Amino acid sequence: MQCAESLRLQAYFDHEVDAVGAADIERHLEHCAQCRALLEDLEEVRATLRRDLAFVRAPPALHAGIQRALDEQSAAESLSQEIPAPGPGSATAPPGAPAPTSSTKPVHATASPRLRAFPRGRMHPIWAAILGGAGGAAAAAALAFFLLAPRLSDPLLDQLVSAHVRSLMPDHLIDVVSTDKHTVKPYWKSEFNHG
Amino acid sequence: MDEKRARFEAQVLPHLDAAYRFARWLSRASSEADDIVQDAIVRAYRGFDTLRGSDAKAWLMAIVRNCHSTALKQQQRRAFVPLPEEDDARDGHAMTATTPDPENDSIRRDQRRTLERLMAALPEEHRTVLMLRELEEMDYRQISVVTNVPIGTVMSRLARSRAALKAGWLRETEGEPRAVR
Repeated sequence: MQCAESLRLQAYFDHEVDAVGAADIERHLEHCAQCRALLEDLEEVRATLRRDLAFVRAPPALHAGIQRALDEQSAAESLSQEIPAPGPGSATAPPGAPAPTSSTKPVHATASPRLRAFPRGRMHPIWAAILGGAGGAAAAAALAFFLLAPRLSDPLLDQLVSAHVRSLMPDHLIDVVSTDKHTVKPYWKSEFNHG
Repeated sequence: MDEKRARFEAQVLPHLDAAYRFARWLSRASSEADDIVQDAIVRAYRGFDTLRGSDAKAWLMAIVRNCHSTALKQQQRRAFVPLPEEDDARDGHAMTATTPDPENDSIRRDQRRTLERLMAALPEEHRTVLMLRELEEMDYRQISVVTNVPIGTVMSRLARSRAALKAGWLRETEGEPRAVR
C-alpha cells in the first residue's frame, strides 16, 4: 500500500516541483512516515548508483576511433564542398580538380585498422565511414567529370543522366517496365496489397 | 569545416562519457557500446546543423538510443546471436578504482557487480530512465525527449525502477556477514 503522494514526493526529490509544491510536500512529510521512508530509499538508491556506477568512462580506443571517424567525415564534407567550385570550361580547373581527391587519399590510407582484434559479422562503423568517404569522393569526382568535360556529352549520355536524375527524385511517377498486363498486374499486386 | 568540427567538439564531445555509459546500459555489452557510440557521433556530426541552441546532451542521447535500436533491428533481421561477453580484461581496466585500499576495493567491486546485475535485471525502459536520471542527472523533460515517452510515463517508470532496485538491493545484501552500511 503506497501513499498517494509518492509520485509527487519523487518529483520533489528530483527537484521537479516549484517552491509552493515543495512546501506542500514538506508539510506532508511531517506527518507521513511512509513518505519519509520512501524519501530515504530514494536517497539511498541515488547515492549507491552514483557511487558505484558513475565511474564508467569512454575507453581511449573509442576516443581514438571517434577522432578518426570525424576526420573521415569532415574530409568527405569539405571535399563535396570544394569540388563543384571550379566552373566548367575554366582553364585552371583540370589541374585543380584532382588536388582535393589526392589530398583525401592519405586519410583513407592511414585510417588505422580497427578497434578490436577479433573480426565481427557486421560492418564496423569505421569501414562504413571510410566507404562513405570513398563514395562521397567518387560522387564528387563524377560530378567534377561531368562539369569539366562538357565536350564528352552526347545525346545518349544526356538522356542517361537525365533519366538517372529523374529516378532519384523523391516523388517521381513510378515507371512500369511494360504495358503488358501479365507484367503490370503482378507488379501492382506486389506494390499495393489490396484484395 | 574546421570551424564546424571545433564547435562540435566543444558542444557534443563533452557528453561522450555519458553517451558511452548510456550505450553500455542499452546494449548490456561494452563491445557493442563502442560501435553504437561511434555510429551515433558520426550521425550527430552529420546532423550537427539541426542542433540549434537546444540541449546537446539530450540530443546526443536520443541519437545514441536511435542507433541502438537500429543496431538491434539489424541483429534481429540477421538472427544474429551475440556471443557471451568476454571483455572482462578491458572492463577490469575500466573498473580499476583510484583508492589505494585493496580490501575496500574488493567490497566495492562486489557491490558493483551486485548493482550491475540488479540493473541488468530491470526492464530496459525502466533501466534507461533510472540511469538518465541518477547518473546523467537529466530532468524529466530531457528524459522524456530522449526516451520519446510522456513525462508522466517517465515518472512512473522512475518510481518503479527505483522501488525494484531498492527491493533487489535489500534482498541481495540481507544476511551478508559484512554490513554494507
